Amino acid sequence: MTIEKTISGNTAELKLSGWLDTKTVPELEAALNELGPGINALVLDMEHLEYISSAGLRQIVAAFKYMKGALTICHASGEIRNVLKMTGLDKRLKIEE
Amino acid sequence: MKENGNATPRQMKSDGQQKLPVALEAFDIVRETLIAEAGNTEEVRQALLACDEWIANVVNYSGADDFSFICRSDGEAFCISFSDNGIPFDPTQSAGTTAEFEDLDLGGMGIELIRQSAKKMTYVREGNYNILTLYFEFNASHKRKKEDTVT
Repeated sequence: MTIEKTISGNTAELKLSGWLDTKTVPELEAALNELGPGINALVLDMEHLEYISSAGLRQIVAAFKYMKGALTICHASGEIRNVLKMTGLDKRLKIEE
Repeated sequence: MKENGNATPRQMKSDGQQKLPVALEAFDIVRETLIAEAGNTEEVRQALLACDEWIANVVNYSGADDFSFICRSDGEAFCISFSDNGIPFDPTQSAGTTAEFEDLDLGGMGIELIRQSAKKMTYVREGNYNILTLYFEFNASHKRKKEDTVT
């Protein structure tokens, strides 16, 4: 998996590509941990994310809590959205086209 | 072990019973096997989602030191059986998570994802082994592929 990070003011955008699974989730965790204390909003661009497992979902929930809810998911495929729906996360997360 | 459906699943050409490490690298082996057999399609990724969750469960919680899997297909559907000698755990009897959203970073979604990703799952305890079998269906295009490639 690859993660491309862009910082704009207090907002960080992470473009996720590839597979976010049990093995690769530490890469996302590390990227989130590297965000400075001045970052208070997070955008996860999932346009090129092919796959997500519960390990990835757990990390997203953790990020949501850390950002006090200021987390947006964008460009997720129908497949990724379906996984979010299966777990009910779609009801709480802000998901944009 | 009781098999699903009317047809006896036929073993895929590419594999028999395969040993897996009791480590997260087991997912790489299962992923490579399924994608080599059926392609990197949405259906296969959904099957892999269920496999990923079960593998994580075995690796993190079972205490097993013997882990293996086998894939079978009858052209209409395929099934994946996992065998491990860990502590008994029947996911078919596991209630869905009741955790609040704020607690989901601690876990609780895996079994639900298996349940929703697989068409059916069966569990049996054979001796010291948990045997979980997950069933999935092929779409029409994959059926054609199987007809072309499996003899």
